[in-house]
Amino acid sequence: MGNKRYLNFQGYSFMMPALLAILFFTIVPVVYAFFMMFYKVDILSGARTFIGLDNFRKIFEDPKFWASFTNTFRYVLVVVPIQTMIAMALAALLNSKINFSRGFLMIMFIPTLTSSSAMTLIFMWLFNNNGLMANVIEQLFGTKVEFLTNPSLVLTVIMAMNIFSTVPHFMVVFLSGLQDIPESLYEAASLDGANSFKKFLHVTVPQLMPITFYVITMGLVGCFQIFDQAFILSGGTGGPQNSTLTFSLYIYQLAFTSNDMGRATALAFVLGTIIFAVTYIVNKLLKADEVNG
Amino acid sequence: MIRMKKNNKKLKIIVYTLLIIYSIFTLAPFLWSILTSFKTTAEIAAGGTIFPESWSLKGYETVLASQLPTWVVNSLLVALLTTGINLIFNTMAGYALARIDFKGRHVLFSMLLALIMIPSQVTMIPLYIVVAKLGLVDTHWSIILTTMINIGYIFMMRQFFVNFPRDVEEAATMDGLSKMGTFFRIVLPNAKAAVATQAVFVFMGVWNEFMKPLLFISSPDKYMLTQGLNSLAKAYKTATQWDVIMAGALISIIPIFIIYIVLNKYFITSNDQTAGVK
Amino acid sequence: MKKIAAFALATSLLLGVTACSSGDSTKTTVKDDTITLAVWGSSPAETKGLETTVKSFEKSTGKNVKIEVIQDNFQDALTARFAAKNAPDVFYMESFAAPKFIKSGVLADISNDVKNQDDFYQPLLNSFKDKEGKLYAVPKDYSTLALYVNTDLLEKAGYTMADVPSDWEGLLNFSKTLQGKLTKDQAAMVFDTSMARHMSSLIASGLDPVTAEGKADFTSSPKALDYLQSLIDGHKEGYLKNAKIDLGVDWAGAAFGTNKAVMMIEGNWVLSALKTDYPTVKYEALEAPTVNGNKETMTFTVGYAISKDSKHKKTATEFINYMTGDGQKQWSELSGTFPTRQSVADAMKLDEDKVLKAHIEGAKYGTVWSSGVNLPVISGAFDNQFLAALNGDKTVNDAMKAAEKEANDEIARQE
Repeated sequence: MGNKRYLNFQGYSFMMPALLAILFFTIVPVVYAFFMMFYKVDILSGARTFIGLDNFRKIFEDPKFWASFTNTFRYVLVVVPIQTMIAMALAALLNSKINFSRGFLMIMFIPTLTSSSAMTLIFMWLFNNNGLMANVIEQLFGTKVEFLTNPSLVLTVIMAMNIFSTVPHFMVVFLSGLQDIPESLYEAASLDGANSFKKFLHVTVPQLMPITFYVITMGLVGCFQIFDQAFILSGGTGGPQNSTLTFSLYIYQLAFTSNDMGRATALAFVLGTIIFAVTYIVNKLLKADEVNG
Repeated sequence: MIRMKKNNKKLKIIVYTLLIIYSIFTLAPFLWSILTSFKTTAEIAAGGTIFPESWSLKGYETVLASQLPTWVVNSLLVALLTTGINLIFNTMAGYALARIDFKGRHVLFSMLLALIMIPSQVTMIPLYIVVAKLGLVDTHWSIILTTMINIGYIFMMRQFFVNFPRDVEEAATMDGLSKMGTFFRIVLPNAKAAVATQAVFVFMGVWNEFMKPLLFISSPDKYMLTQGLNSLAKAYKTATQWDVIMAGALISIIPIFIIYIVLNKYFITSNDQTAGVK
Repeated sequence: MKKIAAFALATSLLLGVTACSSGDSTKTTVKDDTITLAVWGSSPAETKGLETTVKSFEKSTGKNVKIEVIQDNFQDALTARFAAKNAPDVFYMESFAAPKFIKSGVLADISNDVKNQDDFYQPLLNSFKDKEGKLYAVPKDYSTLALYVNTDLLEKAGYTMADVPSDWEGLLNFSKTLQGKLTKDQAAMVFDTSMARHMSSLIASGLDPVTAEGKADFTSSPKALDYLQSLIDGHKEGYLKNAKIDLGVDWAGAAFGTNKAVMMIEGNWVLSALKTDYPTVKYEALEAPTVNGNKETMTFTVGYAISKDSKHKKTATEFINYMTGDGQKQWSELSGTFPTRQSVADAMKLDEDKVLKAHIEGAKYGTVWSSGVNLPVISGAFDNQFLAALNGDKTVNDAMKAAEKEANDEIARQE
């Protein structure tokens, strides 16, 4: 019993500095926002009237909510699996006892360092209707593809942009996870006659599970909250025809264009719940909990 | 044996080809940014050229003629301090969540995860209110204190420690070290890769932070670097000065790049060690 | 690793001390008679103009002004400061956003404090009034749209300025013929897809997109739909191009400056960019084209507003009176913006410059970009749906019906 108490004391003293900071600078703002969702709020003057759950009714009957719902889910479904797999594969390749691995790592990390304004400019230059991509496709196939005006393609451009800049980030995370896998596990597999691919599948993947859980969860959070690229490409409108309207962009519009902070926070909590539920389901499916201790 | 080697060779060729292709793919935008920084805004807007028609230094001149040194110092102060605090506290919290069996840790962990799922668009204004109430507006403390902890990296460290070999710790406990002692003397030195990864990410995050400086800091002599560079590039309401943006972006990458090079050796360690054995 | 950790900790503590001391130094500099002025970042000329004029004010009154520059997302930052009851004493206020602030009741009523109000261009002043006619901000400068023509490209195609028509329909036909003499990556005219640029044309076509009740109306005038259709047709045939979508540059001025467009309808803010970034391009400016025989252009104005809770209201009032009164000539001359007072405009003889004249004339009949508290929602719906008509997914009629519904549903939800 004494030991248990000792552990409790230890645990909370390790957590204390983090918890204090989180209390002041995360929980207080979140609680403040939490109460706003039951009110009609004029954020400028601070005037508010209690309206119960009316903000939620308004959200669910708004076609824009459902548009952002579809867009964001499409976005998550495509981006999260692809970026996770590419990041893991690249990390494994870099870790496979090759020469110049640090050189490769250095180069591959660069997209994360390139400024987002440079990235936006490059993508605009590549994908505009007179740009490199459109022209190459026109010459090869004879059809003109309009990436930025076509509602079904513009989201794809944003997806590509995001995968491109997020992969190096998660690759580095995977890579440091790989450093912790004991060499003895690979040696044992070699003795059993496993080839490189089998070793990857039976040693690397299961050993990386906790890190994969992290990468997928953060990937889900990041993708569900995608804002910058959609904001820049559509000029904040979410157009054409709501095709770039994501949850976060819609929240932003409600808060700052419609001046309806109550509804914006209500939607934020709807989004938070969705992310939490999806993360939970995904990780149940991947059985990540078993290795999570 | 010979066949095995041949297979290995083939595999290596595939691996190298994949890595080289992906490297070119990622290097291209960066090289393009460097070349672009030497073009005039007019040439950038016209597009079509790869190398600058005439190497223009206007972008760099604009950046260097500004209060750049002050902004670099501000950003370095804030980013280094914040990174230091983050490394210690995030790692401690992550370690506790993974390795100390205290009451309520699963609930606590789920709660922390839930907190990062609330989008920042709605917590930004309440956060500003907190900062204003504490009298921190227009001080660097506003940024340091609000970014001193990052739940995402607590989570990352927890996941690293889940797999951390138990025998090392147990030996330390046997030797009579307390949990704190074990953590600082045994665990931390053995988690170099994870801590280095976190250091790069935290530093980069603070260095590139956009919204917080914008809201919290209003005096030009207290600007963070990105904020200052933004003020130069957005000088004309609708017209962005791309040469200034590119030059500024490249200058601002340098410190991150240095830190990254310094810490790079921790990212791939086992590889070199085994290569040495061979 | 230990070394790194130790180093990090040591620097942290060291820096902590310096950061702390730098934090305290500000409090001493703010005196009782000092007001804070929040502005957004602007061109070097405007920055210099503001600093110099503020200094003249300080000199003539002995009061102090602390200028705070918010680089980006000005509205968001200002909103946060109001929410935290930490608003600046005086701040820039766009006519577009003014109704929201007026409705929230956070601006000081300055109806009786601004001197000589008849001298201002009245449409500018009116955009800062509420329904009862109370005044909440005083215009500091304004911009209007004009038709810019790249004379080099025009002459190369075999035309002169005299050939450029002054009405919208004629301009379209002219663009069509002109496009035949240009390359594929050039545009006879660049156009913008947002409502902020087309509201005056819609009004000239008999459609006020914002009804008297503050609702959206995009469909009641067939003529207005025809006007929008003319943009769609021009884009389809390629003589109207959008800078971002078709030419891959971030704004019309860049397309114009790099000889990718012969004509553009833009505000006088392009002048400083053309001068610094594209000094070789030769151009002239004409008044914006007439639509259905009506003179029209958009006017954009920014004013000074005072926070209702300001503790230095007297100094603040004195300040905005100076900046839009005695100091206005100095400000306008240095910044290159247009004065909002008729008397100052006359004194500066701006209409002797041909390019500026095209803009100044516009101020007489221009539509100010401001129309009640619902305009952001209404124009947002337009911008979103108009793109659907542009890419051919919807007819103009259907797109505008959808925009109208989208806006009015949202307005209903806000009530």
